[in-house]
Amino acid sequence: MMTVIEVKNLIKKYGNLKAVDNLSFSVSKGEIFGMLGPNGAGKSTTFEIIVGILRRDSGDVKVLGVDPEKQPEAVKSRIGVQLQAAQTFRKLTVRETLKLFAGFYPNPLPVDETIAQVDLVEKMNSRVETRSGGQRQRLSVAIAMISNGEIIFLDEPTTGLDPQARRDLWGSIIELKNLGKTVFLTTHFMEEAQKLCDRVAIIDYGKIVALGSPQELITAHFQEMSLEIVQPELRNEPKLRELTSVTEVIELNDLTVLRTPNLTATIQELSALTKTLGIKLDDFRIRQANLEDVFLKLTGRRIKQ
Amino acid sequence: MKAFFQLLTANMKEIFRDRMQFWWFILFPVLFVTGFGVVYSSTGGPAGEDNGIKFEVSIVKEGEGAFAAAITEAFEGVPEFAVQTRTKSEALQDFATGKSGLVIILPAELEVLPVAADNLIDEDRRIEIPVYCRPDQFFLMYAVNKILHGAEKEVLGQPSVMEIKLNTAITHDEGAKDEPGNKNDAPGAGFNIIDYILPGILAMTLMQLGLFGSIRVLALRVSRILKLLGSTPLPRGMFLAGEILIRVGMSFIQALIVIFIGHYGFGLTLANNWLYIAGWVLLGTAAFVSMGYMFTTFAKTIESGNAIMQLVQLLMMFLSGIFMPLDLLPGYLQTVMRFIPLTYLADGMRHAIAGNPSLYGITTDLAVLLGITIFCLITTVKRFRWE
Ligand SMILES: Nc1ncnc2c1ncn2[C@@H]1O[C@H](COP(=O)(O)OP(=O)(O)OP(=O)(O)O)[C@@H](O)[C@H]1O
Ligand SMILES: [Mg+2]
Repeated sequence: MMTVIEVKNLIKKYGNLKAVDNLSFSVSKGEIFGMLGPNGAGKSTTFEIIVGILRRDSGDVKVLGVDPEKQPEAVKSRIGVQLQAAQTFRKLTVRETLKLFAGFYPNPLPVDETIAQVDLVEKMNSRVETRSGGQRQRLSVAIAMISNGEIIFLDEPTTGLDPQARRDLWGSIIELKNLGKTVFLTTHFMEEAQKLCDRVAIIDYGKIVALGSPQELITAHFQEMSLEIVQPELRNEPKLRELTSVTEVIELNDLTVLRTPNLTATIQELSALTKTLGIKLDDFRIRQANLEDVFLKLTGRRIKQ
Repeated sequence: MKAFFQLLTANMKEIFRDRMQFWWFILFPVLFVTGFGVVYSSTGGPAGEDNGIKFEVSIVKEGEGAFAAAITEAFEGVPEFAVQTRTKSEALQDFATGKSGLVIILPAELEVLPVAADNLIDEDRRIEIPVYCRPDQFFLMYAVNKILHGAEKEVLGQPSVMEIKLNTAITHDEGAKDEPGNKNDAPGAGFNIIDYILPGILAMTLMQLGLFGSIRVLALRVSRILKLLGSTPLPRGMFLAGEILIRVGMSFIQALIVIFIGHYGFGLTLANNWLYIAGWVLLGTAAFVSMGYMFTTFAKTIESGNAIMQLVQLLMMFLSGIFMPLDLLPGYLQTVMRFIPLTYLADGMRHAIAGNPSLYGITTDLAVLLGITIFCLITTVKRFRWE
């Protein structure tokens, strides 16, 4: 596999704050690579250093074999970038905006094709200032796509989109991958990272806390399944802790979580227990651990809120 | 190159599709020149027309010679001047009592000027010419400057020997009575002061348009458009060239509107042809737009940008002497003025529009403005960052 992004011991400080604290990772050609982390984790800082618009304090960065700080032009003409919270010219129309940005790249995609790709055909002749937040977000993703770059960089591409638009955009991103492009994205949506990314770097306080494919990360950290009991009758029931197949009982606000390596045994034990307690067992669900759980386990905090 | 024009058009659309901005762009120069025109131009008819209102001018000839006579004649040639030749004590008496607002004393040694021109320049000689002018008639000083230095230039080829020594009041040792004047002639009425005031004010306005117009780049920075552009292959130089070109174009057009309406609406006298004037305006605009862009590279926010521009503008406004005749300022300030770019633009504008002889020499003015443009452009390109 060919490496297209290589980051080694990257450090970026703002005063005393280490926004990026000794990050190292690499991204292979053709993969969708995600950086998952909470607000302020250092995702955008890393992102902007890699695309060559922010200077680093130390470390090595290579994009398509080139240092983006030393030869920004050589990198920029071969990548497409969507920036978090960047506006575009307010008085231009959607179409004019894409035409303008297409003009900056040596080999851009056709404007109309890209407009269709992000579902803005009906709005293409109205001014950006009259468009909704979600439509502007899709426009800024389209700006990254129109570059026809070898790597497409997306900083929180689906923030501000409704669930349907988010799913549509995931489709477009997978299509980019099918075209052989590499996608580097950041997100703080666990689901997005899990469904979309081939590999994920989970970062917190500027450090990588876990790196790998979503499935790898989950199985590495959780051999057990979670059985979530929603029934209030079983809340804080001490006998749950006596079940032999259960390794851990976690009481959350609105549910009780049993961790178990042997789901069948636990369900049998549980139904026996409810029978002796005279309760009907009818409101529980089984959940595999997800990246959120990985983050929770590694940092003791949730990604969002 | 295609990308450059697309960026230019995009920028222009961004500016002119904003209705407020568009109308202000047109309205500003119109209101500006109309304001000055109404206040300062002669009430009836084009400039130079004799409409009966005269300024009393006393000329004192300390020697009897052809050069002093020629200068006197030049003063008499101005329709708005009622010139009287007086003795020094009579003239000062009239000035003290307010009978005349302008006294020019031509010393006897002035006569060597046409005869020994080369020697004077070689020896770096100065001949002092005392002038008394009432503060409410300072605008007359532009005419005095023009005539005196003009005459000097004719015989010397450059205005470098005559040193106008301007006084606003008579000191007691000069022996005249210091009475409050009875100013019965309303200043300004009938005299086309616009000729003498507008070029300086226009220079100041070009400075303001240049400095404050560049603030837009900070707005682009704050909205992160700049960062987004920075992530594309668009070269920094091309982006800056587009920005600066638009700003220069805009204030150039505005300045031309001012001069155009000033000329056709309010009788502003144009001493040179349009092409020549436009050239000077363009150079002045380029100098101050580049300067504005250079200063934006020192600011992070719109607020700090505004503060910098405000400070620069204040310093230049007060130290360039566009509000006051040069000759009135103390010597050290005159030295300071020589380091203020606006001084040279104002000098150039007076030369190009009103035909005043340049105080520092046209080449100096041009060199300074061109130098500023180049210096600021290079600094801007070097210091400019996308992030
Ligand atoms: N220009 C700056 N000056 C000072 N501190 C900064 C600057 N930019 C970012 N930071 C700080 O660096 C840290 C990392 O910020 P960054 O924007 O990279 O986070 P992020 O992971 O992208 O967060 P989010 O999910 O909110 O976008 C934060 O603590 C932030 O406050
Ligand atoms: Mg971010």
